[in-house]
Amino acid sequence: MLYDRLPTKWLITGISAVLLGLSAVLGGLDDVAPTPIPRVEAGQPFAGERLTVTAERAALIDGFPEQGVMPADGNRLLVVVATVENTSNDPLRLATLTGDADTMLPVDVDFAAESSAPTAVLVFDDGSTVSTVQPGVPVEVAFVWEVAAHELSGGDELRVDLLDRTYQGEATVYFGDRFSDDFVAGYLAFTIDDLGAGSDG
Amino acid sequence: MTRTTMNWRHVANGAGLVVILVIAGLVAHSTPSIAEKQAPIAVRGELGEPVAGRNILATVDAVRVARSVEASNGWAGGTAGVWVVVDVSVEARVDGLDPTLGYARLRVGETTFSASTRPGDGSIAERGMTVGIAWTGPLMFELPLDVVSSPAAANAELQLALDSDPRVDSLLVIPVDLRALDVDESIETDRPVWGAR
Repeated sequence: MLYDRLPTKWLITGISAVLLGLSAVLGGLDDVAPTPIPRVEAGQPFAGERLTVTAERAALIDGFPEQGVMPADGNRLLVVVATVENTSNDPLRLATLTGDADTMLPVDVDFAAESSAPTAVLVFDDGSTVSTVQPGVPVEVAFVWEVAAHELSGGDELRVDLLDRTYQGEATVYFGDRFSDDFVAGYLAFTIDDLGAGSDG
Repeated sequence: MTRTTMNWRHVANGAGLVVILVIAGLVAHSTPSIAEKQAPIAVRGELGEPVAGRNILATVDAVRVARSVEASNGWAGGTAGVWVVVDVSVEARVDGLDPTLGYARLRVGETTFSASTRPGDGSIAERGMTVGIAWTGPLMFELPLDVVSSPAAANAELQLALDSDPRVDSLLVIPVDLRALDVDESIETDRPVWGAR
């Protein structure tokens, strides 16, 4: 019989080819439109995995001398003002390190620092620079990045990506929670305000 | 005769297998998880009494709640919630690698809050500790108002440990009844002092 003499390899290859062919006929090779990243309006809360972010505005400022956050000569500070609320059960440090999630990332901006993480995160109320957000207590903060003075100016359009990561369970090798890699969960579009020296801002 | 012996042997084998599976199940279910194996060693104490762990000695003097706080360094922080101010005296008991009061948390139900570092020098959060010489000063915790008045707040716990990671070392646990406390409009806190109680 033919069946007895057919090599197994041929059989497997043949079945795979038939299945792939069928999938191609049914649209398996068609382009798939990527899921569009939702646009988040200023003032609209955006709920991430552990943090709900309500971004208000973006501005350029010369510096925050009272808080000790001053850019190097020739640089200015790009500031995004947002209210953040920790929706988890534990205190959460706002990211000032590359790769930390639940933050925002201005797009197409050449930062003065090598890292795209904020230079500082300031609490609006008292200007303190280390900001751990406590569960259920919304805080208005300023995310601050240092940029070259010619990089951005007032009136420019700025896109800011909101980053998020999903909880994946308990870690096994190290201790603590395990999260997915960052992904862009939404974006904001601002027109930058130039606050100058910002003495009143 | 031989046939009966065979049957009995089969039954015994089956029973043996079931016993082994039950034991394996018990072992699997009673083995401590990583979190349990590495859990901090809780040392329970009371408000107003010295509580001693392996590496830390603390006395919680008072707990207050207010809508706004003015610290000794002039810091006056607002919050969308309320401030729980804990006046505490803490010292190290063994000479470690630059020990700090790195773990100061208030646990209400399933939620934990860390001592705020916003007041800077006005608080003793994350302050360096010395053996035998206590730092006495306030710790400020920022909590939502509805948490302070929730039923779980009656069984709140203050947790203190040296360094930021309290695992497999002493964790002082002091129960606090937050519900019984009045919410003041504004309070001032003392300057942290070193070497006095």
